[in-house]
Amino acid sequence: MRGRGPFELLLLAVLMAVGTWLGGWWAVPLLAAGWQWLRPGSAWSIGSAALLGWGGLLMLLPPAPFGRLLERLGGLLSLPGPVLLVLPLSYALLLGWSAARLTLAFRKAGG
Amino acid sequence: MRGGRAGAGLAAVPLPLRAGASLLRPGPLPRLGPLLDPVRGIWSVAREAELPARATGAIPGLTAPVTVRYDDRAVPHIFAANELDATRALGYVVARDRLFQLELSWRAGAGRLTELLGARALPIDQESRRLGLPDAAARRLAALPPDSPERRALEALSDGINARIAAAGSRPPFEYQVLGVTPARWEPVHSLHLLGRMGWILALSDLEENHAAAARLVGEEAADALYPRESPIQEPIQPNGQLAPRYDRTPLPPPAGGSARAARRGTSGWEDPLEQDALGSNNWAVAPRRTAAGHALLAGDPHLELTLPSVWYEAHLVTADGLDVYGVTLPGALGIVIGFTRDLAWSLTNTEADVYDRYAETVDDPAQPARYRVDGAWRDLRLAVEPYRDPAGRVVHTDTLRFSHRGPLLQAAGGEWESHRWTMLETGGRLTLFGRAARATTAAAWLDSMVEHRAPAQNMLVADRQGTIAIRSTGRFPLRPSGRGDLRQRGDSTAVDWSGDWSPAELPQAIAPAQGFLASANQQPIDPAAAPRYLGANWYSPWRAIRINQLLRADSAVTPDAMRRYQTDPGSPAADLFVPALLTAAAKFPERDSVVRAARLLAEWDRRYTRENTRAVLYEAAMRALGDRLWDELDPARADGAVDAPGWAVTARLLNDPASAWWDVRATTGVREDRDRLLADALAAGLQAAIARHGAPDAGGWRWDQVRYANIYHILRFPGLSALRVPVQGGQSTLNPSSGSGSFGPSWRMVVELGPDVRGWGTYPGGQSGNPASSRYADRIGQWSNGELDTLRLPRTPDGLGAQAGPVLELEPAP
Repeated sequence: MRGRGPFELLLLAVLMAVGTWLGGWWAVPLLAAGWQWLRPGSAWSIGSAALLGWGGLLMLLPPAPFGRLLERLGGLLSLPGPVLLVLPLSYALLLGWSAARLTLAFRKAGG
Repeated sequence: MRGGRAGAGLAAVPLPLRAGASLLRPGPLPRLGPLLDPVRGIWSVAREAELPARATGAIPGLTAPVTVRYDDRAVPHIFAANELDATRALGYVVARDRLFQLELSWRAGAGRLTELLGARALPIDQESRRLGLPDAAARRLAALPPDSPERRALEALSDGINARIAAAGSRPPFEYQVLGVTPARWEPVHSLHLLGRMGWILALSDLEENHAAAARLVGEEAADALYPRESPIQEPIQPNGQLAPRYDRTPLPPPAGGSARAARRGTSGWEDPLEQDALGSNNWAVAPRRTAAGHALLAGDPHLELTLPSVWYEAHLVTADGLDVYGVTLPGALGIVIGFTRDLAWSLTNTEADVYDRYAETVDDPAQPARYRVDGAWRDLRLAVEPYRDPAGRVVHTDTLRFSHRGPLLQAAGGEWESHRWTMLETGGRLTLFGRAARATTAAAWLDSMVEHRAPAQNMLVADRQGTIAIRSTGRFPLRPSGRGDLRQRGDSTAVDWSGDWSPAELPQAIAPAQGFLASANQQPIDPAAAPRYLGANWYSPWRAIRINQLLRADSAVTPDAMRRYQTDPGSPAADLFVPALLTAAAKFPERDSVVRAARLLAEWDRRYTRENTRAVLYEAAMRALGDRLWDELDPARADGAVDAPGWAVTARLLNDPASAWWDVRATTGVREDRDRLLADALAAGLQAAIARHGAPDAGGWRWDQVRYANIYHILRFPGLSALRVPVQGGQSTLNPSSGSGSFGPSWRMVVELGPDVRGWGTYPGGQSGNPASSRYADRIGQWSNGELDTLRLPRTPDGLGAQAGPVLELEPAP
């Protein structure tokens, strides 16, 4: 399986972020699938790019309200607030990875 | 009125409690993609949490631009050309801060919560629809001509709310995202649904049911005495010339043997006997000659359910045509409900009058009635088939509602069909009264502006800058041919129907009283010696009124700060009455170690519900044990109905009759308890219960703030979004009563000094924003808990806030 360089990862992460900003969460699996189709390689690296992209978007949120939100949602689930960051990040990772894996399987099945 | 109180207490609780509690049950997961999306999902509420320094918006129908300047407490000061524009802007800013609360409130009144929350909300919806709340709202709206001020105001408010819904676009508030739904468009009728729900909270009663169940157990005469039409302690709202409360010291008629079965509403939830005096609202005003600065003072202290966000929203409306009013509104309602202008201030408490009657009807078919018999002829019932839908639009349940000429027809517990007639369900009264009254410049003119108010009836207290203080119990009080409303009538004849209403001149009221102060605390408004006509029954014990009047009689130089302190005064007239009685009784049993020990501990208490006191726990446990023993004739084990425990004012009356049959505990055969024996037994049992629950007396567990606190729940009862175990000062029958659940209490505290320049102070438990990511979500709770108030800003222009100025929102007419 072909590896991906840091530049490619970064580019993909930016695309994921911009795609999500413009089109919503569906941008992640669509971009993951499209990228994997065009440049087959590690599905984990595509997932990681999705994680980076969403992480960047979360960093754009105003920090004080975001911190309060994490704290209060943490209280809702009896967890420390920052732990909740795992939820969107792991979701992006798994979404990107699964779309890339599926695309790879299709590519192989298609010969 | 015990029945009304049941309405107040229960009604306030069920919406978040039932709906919220069921929401905490495992249910379908929200769709993760939209929820976790960092741009539009749940996190995006952080982006909406704080207003930018300058924001813009557009509202259809605005006749001119509106400037909204927020102050440092996040209160919007709305500067508009006219009242309708101000109303549009108010709708916009309320929706910006409280959109989900708006939706939950109207749906609760409309019986349409299932469309938001699913079938789990069905019981609440059924209750609202069966009571006829949405039916009444629809009829009331239909009765408004299109060009009437009320209709135009409702439409203006809708314009503003809907403009904000449109502006929120794909980023609705947090709760919508969790539930996976989108905001519904606001319609004018939604404001009426919301008011119907508030009426349900404030004016529903079960006096007839309660009286009938009690009469089956102890006989009619005893039931009349236990749930009296005249409070056994008279400290009325309309001053009666007394310098102290008047106690009824006559003996209670003994219980008659009854064979029927009923259940006393006893020791669970707020219906605990001690809870009876844990709820209520206060207001009082002092004339200039009794204040330090020589200006009239007014304090408002309405008690409602404590929620996050709060039931109230603070705002200031200024228009070019002369309106300048500050105070709190109910999100989704028109105008400022409690507040002040540059000329006067006002506040409300619930009147607790009996405005709800039941009539047993003869129907053609007890299984599926379609007609009922009146005056010897059959009349058709009006039938309405009501589908309840889930968020996907699927019908989850269907009801057939029935209405007689009196109101909704409901099946009672015994299977009999009853018509329910209630002032809240009958059109009348004007919706724009508060706006009109805010233009008055004198107390008398303000009261006259409000005289058309019909329901829920309120004790309206007002003070003006000329120094006049005045109060009127305002609302529709029906006249019954039988002279009583606490007994269920047979509905076979129209001769039993209401024959009219109290005229304005007959309403309990006082203007510029000689005593120099006025106060109301949900007590019987008028001394029956002055007006023997039936107004209600089973009234609140007037402990809070007694305490306010004690404080005001003792202070001839009242200051605004004293008014503030009184709002959390820890003194308890009930404890002042019952503690000596308990100690005197205990002294007669020196041979009983448990009684002696309990008495020693109780004697250490100064009868003040301060946070740090460690003896109120024992007093309350003893009183609970007393209630359980004293009212054993209304034994919960004999279940076949429900009976409220009699009020503590009735117990106070009984103290004068040491050998009354009521003191005897039926379970102790062969022993006949008298007053002192029962009081001593209760004290000893209270000590045992307090130790069992809170540990040894001095081990730390008896500290009051460890035992009693406020629980301010999020409106969907999400624990992480709630403020729980908030310490408060106060307890049973104090001015700041705290209920066992802690979810009821002072919902808005306000003090106004009516000097040359009006000054106001206030706060409520919560914050202006319903957004949990906002710094304004719960920022006032600490201050509220400590009994402190903020200075309220009253700028004359958008630039008048100076250093306290916050963000500005410019609203333009939508193209």
